[in-house]
Amino acid sequence: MTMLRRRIRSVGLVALLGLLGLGLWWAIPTEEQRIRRVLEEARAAVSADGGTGSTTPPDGPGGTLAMLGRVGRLTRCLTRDVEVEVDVFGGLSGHLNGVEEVRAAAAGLVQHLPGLKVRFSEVEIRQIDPPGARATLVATIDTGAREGRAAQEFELRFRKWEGRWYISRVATVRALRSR
Amino acid sequence: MAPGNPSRMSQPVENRPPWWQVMAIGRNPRTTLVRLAVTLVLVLVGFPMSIQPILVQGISMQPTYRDGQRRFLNKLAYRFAPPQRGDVIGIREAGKQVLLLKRVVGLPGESLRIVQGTVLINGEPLEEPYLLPPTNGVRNPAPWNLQEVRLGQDEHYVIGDNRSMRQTDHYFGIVERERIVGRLIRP
Repeated sequence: MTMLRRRIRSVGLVALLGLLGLGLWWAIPTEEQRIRRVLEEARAAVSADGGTGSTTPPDGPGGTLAMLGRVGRLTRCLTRDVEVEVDVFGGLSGHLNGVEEVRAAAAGLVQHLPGLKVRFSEVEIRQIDPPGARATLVATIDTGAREGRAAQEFELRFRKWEGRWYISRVATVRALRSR
Repeated sequence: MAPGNPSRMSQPVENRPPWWQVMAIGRNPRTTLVRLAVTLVLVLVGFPMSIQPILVQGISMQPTYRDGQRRFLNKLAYRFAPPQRGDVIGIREAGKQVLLLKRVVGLPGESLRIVQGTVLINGEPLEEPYLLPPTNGVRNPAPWNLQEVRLGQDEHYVIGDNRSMRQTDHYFGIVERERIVGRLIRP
């Protein structure tokens, strides 16, 4: 009887340790999961359907305060020296340097496209080697206008600073190049 | 064998299923199930791995392919052989779903340039029967020019068939091998 009790105890202990390990695995995210969270934060900040945070601003979800909140949330995901390089055939092209330029551009974007919805798919995070990492993803952008839907591939670079990942570079990827 | 108890040949019992059952699940339901499973696997796994349906959008492949046409891409075409000149290929533009449809004109290692609308491969003019025929002796209404480009080992040069549009409006250039999804299955 004592033997049986001992066995039950040891099996229970092993099961408990296993559960604890599983819980830790869920609770402590991997570097890839941390990077994905930053990406989701940035997406939610740009997208009109990303929410406005924990409280609703006094001037409503589409108001100036909400817009500033979204831009603020976006810039919290970026390094101060962030670079954005956009080159879409027959569309936008330009280069932004630093978080202030991105803040101004994002404010304009959010203001002019209030119904902007962004969705990320095919997210591939590669070369995670702190303090750096790279990712590629496809952003489906819906401006809310008729025929205002487009998909664009992006390449991103991340930098880790004080335990948190930040986006340090965003560039569009073109399938065809001239050289 | 005891007398008075004549042996009787056992007659095969005709146990045919009703016609509606044969129509619905076949003579042997187990065989039908196996066939169904094999077909499902082929359709759900084999088809997406080898064939991709595409919807042509835009005018860059006119007159060969027009806006709104539906075609299929053979994704296994380049598994064992490289793309050939003249092939119409699908190129991954943004993810797996948004593809570009272009024609291969330059192969790895070649040098390519365009002079007044004529593609020159290693200095030799390329025959392109798929382009619009000359009108009033003019071969291309919008003659294109491109400085010499030398292709690397994994690079192909692709252009659409519509050379009558302005060069600056036409998306063409070098594509890396890894972006090529497959070859268009001709109608």
